[in-house]
Amino acid sequence: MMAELPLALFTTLAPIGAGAFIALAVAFFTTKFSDEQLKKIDRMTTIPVVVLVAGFICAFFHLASPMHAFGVFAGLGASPLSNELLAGVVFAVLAIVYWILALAGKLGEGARKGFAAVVAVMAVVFACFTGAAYMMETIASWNTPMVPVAVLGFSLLGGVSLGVLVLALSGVLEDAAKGGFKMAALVVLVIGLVLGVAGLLVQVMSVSGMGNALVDGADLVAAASAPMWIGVVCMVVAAAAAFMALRNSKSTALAAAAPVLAIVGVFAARLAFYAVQLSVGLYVG
Amino acid sequence: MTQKAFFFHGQRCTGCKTCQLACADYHDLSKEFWYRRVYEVCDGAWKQDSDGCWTADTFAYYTSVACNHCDDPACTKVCPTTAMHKDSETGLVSVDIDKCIGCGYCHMACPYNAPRVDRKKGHSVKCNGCAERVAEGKMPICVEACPMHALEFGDVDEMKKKGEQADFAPLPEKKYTSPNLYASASEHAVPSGSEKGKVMNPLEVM
Amino acid sequence: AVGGAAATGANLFGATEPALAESEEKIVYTHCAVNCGCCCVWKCHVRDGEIKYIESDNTGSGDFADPQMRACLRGRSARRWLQNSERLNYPMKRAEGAKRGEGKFERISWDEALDTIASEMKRIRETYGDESMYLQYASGVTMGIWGSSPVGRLLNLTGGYLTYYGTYSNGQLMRSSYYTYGEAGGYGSNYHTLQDNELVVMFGSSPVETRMGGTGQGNSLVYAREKHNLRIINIDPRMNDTAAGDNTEWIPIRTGTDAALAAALSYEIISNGWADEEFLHKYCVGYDEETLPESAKGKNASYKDYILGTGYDMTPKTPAWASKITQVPEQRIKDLAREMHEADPVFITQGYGSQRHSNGEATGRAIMVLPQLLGQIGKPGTNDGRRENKIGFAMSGFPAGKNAVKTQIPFFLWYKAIEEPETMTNLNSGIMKAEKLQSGIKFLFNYAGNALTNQHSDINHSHEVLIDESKCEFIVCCDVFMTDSCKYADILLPDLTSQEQVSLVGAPYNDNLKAIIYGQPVYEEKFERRGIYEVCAELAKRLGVYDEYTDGGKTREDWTKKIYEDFRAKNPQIPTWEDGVRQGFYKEARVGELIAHQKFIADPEANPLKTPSGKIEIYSEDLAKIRDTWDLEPGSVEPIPFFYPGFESYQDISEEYPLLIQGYHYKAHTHSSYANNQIVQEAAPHFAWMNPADADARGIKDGDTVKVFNDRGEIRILAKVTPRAMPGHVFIPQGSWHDADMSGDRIDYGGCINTLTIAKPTPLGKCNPQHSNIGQVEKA
Ligand SMILES: Nc1nc2c(c(=O)[nH]1)N[C@H]1C(S)=C(S)[C@@H](COP(=O)(O)OP(=O)(O)OC[C@H]3O[C@@H](n4cnc5c(=O)[nH]c(N)nc54)[C@H](O)[C@@H]3O)O[C@H]1N2
Ligand SMILES: Nc1nc2c(c(=O)[nH]1)N[C@H]1C(S)=C(S)[C@@H](COP(=O)(O)OP(=O)(O)OC[C@H]3O[C@@H](n4cnc5c(=O)[nH]c(N)nc54)[C@H](O)[C@@H]3O)O[C@H]1N2
Ligand code: SF4
Ligand code: SF4
Ligand code: SF4
Ligand code: SF4
Ligand code: SF4
Ligand SMILES: [Mo]
Repeated sequence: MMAELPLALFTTLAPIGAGAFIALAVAFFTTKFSDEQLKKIDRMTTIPVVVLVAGFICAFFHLASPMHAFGVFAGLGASPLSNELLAGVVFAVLAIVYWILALAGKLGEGARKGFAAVVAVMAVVFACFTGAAYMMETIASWNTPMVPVAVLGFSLLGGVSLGVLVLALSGVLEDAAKGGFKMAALVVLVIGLVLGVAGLLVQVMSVSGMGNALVDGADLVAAASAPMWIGVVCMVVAAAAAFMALRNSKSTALAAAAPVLAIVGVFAARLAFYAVQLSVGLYVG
Repeated sequence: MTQKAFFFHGQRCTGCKTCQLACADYHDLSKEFWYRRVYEVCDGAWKQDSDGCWTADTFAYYTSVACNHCDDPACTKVCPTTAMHKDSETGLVSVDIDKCIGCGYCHMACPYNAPRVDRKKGHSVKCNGCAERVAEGKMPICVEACPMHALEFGDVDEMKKKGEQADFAPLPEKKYTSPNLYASASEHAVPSGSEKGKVMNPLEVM
Repeated sequence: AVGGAAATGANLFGATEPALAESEEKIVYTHCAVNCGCCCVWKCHVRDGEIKYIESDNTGSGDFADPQMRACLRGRSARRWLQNSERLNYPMKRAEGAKRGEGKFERISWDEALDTIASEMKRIRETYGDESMYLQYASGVTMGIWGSSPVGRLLNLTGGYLTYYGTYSNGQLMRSSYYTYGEAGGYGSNYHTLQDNELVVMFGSSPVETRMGGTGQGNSLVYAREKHNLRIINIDPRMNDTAAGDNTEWIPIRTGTDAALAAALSYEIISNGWADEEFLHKYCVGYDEETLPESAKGKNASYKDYILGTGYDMTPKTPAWASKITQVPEQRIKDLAREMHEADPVFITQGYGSQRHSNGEATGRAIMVLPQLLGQIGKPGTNDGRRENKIGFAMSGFPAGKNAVKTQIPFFLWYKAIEEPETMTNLNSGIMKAEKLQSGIKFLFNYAGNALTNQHSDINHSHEVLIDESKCEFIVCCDVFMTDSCKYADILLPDLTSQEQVSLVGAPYNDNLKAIIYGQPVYEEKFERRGIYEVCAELAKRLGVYDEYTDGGKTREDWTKKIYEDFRAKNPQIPTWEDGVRQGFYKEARVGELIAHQKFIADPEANPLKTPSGKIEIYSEDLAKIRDTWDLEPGSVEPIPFFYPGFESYQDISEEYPLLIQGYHYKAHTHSSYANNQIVQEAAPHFAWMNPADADARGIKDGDTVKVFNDRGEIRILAKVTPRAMPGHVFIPQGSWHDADMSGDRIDYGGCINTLTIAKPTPLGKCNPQHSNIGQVEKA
């Protein structure tokens, strides 16, 4: 379990950081912000960027030889991990370029919308690939589309929570919540919650019927159930907090609570995920 | 290419672990990184009659497992760097330590518990089929060590003649990676995935 | 054979290893020397004065049918034992003010060590007489011509010393064999006589665990099983690794009760008319009234009387009777008897497990009678009920010379000869060649042994015996590690191992070939370690017998060559010394079958056994005499093979101590030798085997630490919950290192079973009942 901590942090932080860009794109499409507001938003975008970078740093520390990391794309196409990292790098580069251009004031309204949309789509792709990287035939308990579904859900749920915080800290949430953003964000939030919680529950619970020569799936599920339920509760509460923040858009406390709860919840869910790793054969962690 | 393969004589293996320790001696391994491990499968129930007498249907058998240099390796498939690769001459699967980033995906994916990441060394480690010995025309150390002559190694066509592709507990079904492990299974061996095919020495194969 | 594997690849020991080291690698042959019942070749790859890795015999085809002296897991890991940083490196004396057993020592010079030992030897011998000098049972250096003989030679040249008879291995069986077949050896036929499709019935034996080398009997049995399609029945309270094999049926039996099973098998054989009366009348004494000796006639004293219920206890030994004792179902006993009767030939054998019990002598004989009843002795495929045989050249060892002291004590009773020698007589303590002891042990030399504590019964008792400096006044230990026994030394000497000196094995235990191994020092001597031959030569100098001891100045190498050349004079086919050293070892092709008593069966008049009657003694007049004259617990010795439970048996279990605790010999070490080689212990850790029913009842799960205890002590060990353990039992591998605070709670965290065993001798042989123990287990 300890060995998986950096990975659990990576797969928590990076998709949530990425998801925040989805929320921002939604905001740009649903709300017309003033230049002043946009400036504030761009400055506060530092937060998701930091979350994202922290995620990647965790991944980096998971490697025994990070010095060789430039070779990770040699397996492109074949290795799901290479694919994930490519998606991650493409996303990160796009997001950061977008952010720098935005900060520099180089993005007009159309360009901003277009660029933000591309970044958002790439965030979805990255989240899916992050989950898909765990789908391998020889790990029966992970070899299900529920895994990318869940990670996408985490990304949307956590991303909207984080995005709402960005808007709140930028002082624009009230304006945004008056318009279409509230509804749109709510829809993404609910989709995220449903995908995340259902993906997690379906994937973890299905393990109880599995087993190999070393372990019984049911034992793994029993061991994973505490973090799983913590994850579910935290995610539900996070969604509720984000929803309330949207309704009561003056409360930064609620807006801040949502992403923190989301991160805790997703992290717990990820721990549950690693705890149910079950090989089709022999595997000792 | 001539694919190399192991043959395992399950009917002879006594679980002595000489193979495992000979390998550990030659490759200078510590406990965390055995290249070869010996699994004990065992099951049975006891019944006592009215006189206090006992009957049991206990059975037990051992299986010695290293990397099987599979035809369809799970490890190379997931490796992002191609560090884990299959030699074009011998079909032996090994780690290119200059490429490996130590991500541990091979470790997760392999259903034979073969690769591990040695963080001190900075890369994953596993049985390389004693490639350097094989290149010199010698046998792998484990094969030469087995006091029961329960391990053999050679061209896959030769090994195929001696037995079936291994497909019994505690191993995964052969379909996953098509292992180059052929075997004459113990008469007690139960099929892969069988309820009775549980590993009974988990603490010894960590 | 130098530099043979120079090109082993740069990546072997890490890619960073500089390539230049490769050229310096050389190969040195030597052998394993411990007491495991095999003797294997170590082909050492040595570089920069260190073994890098060990190969073994890889000559010949490498085929199953072509024996190679392949080392086992212990031998293959031995570089980490030899080159261990914990080795003893300097002579030491017990630290000023420290008590024996505390393990506190001070480094001293060799001169001081030798002067002290020599003067104590002199003083004690002069004060208490020659019989006060003792060389303790020890088997750490068993293989090869050296062993502890240098110490024996030194003691002999200075007046002689008290010796022992019997061994911890098979003392009981030696007595059983002696009173049955007239010879103290425990060996019958070898496995090479096994025939196609035949039945093998094994009691208390697991050769794949106790004869593990490539030319050991474990290999031979597995080979014969495959080649001859044997059917094997293995009788053991735990499913040992031999019983787990193919073509093998395991019959679980309550520990210590084999004699009851054997009696019931006899009952079936006799009452069904399956007994080979012709054989019994021709070759045996005492089966029935007719064949009893005169002294026993008319008393219903025959074996048949005992079995059918007309003997001294008037109890028919029916399967129903035996099933309650052995916990083997009645029907299974009946079926087994039928199978044994129908099989022809049948190979009936016992290991030493069934006899290492408080009733072991009786058990040994009870099993031996089965092939006698069936007439299954002396022809191909048969055995006489003893252990499977072995083979080797008859090369002599280093000569210890003649001992002026004739008195012998049983190997097990050294503690009594320290504690209360004045009480020991021939009738109560099995003293041989004297009626009683004169002095008791006052000077004790322990060379390559750990049987002061670790390997002897009841460590907490041994501790009390040894710490009393007024009893045994001086103790010398010579070892390679600070073992538990070494902690009781007054002077502690650091030995060179056999591998670090010139060595020679001419009579290995190999099952199936005659072989010689020529050992050369694997690297230069390190630190201040010194070989025992040289140490004793130095002592001989100080005691004025140097010339006699060294036979005019011979070195260890001189002696080795001389013994070899003497042997070669009679066996000209073996290589010259130089050739032998060059090739490392010499093998002769697989030896054929050895059939116990073949000559005697062919012509009993011309080739009588060495028993008083010249026949197989089912009834032994000698035993009758012992029963009538010795100080014995009633019913513990009888002239016929019989069952009695012994002490610490199933009859003694109680609510307090409901479990039978039984040891066994384990793959991770040879007794306590190699038990400190961590890598092997990690591969094969120590577990107390328990049946799931016993574990569940105590809330114990697989891998839990448990305490196992009885009146004598308490150990800590990991539990292994397994259906391979018979209910009601706990199985603990013998040999792990005792690790307790002896001035504190004495809890043994090392899990040494001898913290729990009893220091009470068996009745006839005065042997170690180390597999007979009762106790309890709890979660720690
Ligand atoms: N409970 C229980 N106890 C038992 C048994 C049992 O079954 N159950 N088995 C018994 C049997 S059969 C036997 S044979 C005895 C064996 O008991 P021991 O004869 O005492 O044999 P080991 O325990 O191997 O101890 C040998 C000692 O020799 C040392 N040694 C090894 N190599 C060398 C060397 O080159 N030089 C020197 N100087 N020392 C060396 C080792 O470090 C070790 O301390 O144990 C008996 N004890
Ligand atoms: N690996 C290894 N090999 C060794 C040794 C070692 O320490 N380690 N020691 C060597 C030496 S010196 C010796 S003397 C031999 C010892 O050889 P053995 O004495 O034959 O070995 P044990 O393991 O004591 O007993 C053999 C089997 O008998 C079983 N047994 C115990 N009590 C009973 C009983 O009452 N009835 C029946 N039917 N079975 C019983 C045990 O469970 C065990 O499986 O081994 C030699 N070989
Ligand atoms: S050395 Fe041979 S007999 Fe021993 S465990 Fe390995 S394969 Fe089995
Ligand atoms: S056994 Fe595992 S490591 Fe070896 S080739 Fe197959 S999948 Fe790869
Ligand atoms: S640890 Fe190394 S060999 Fe294994 S998958 Fe990662 S990069 Fe490939
Ligand atoms: S082939 Fe070589 S590396 Fe592989 S298990 Fe055998 S000895 Fe070890
Ligand atoms: S312990 Fe016995 S079987 Fe193992 S190497 Fe030594 S002599 Fe051979
Ligand atoms: Mo022994």
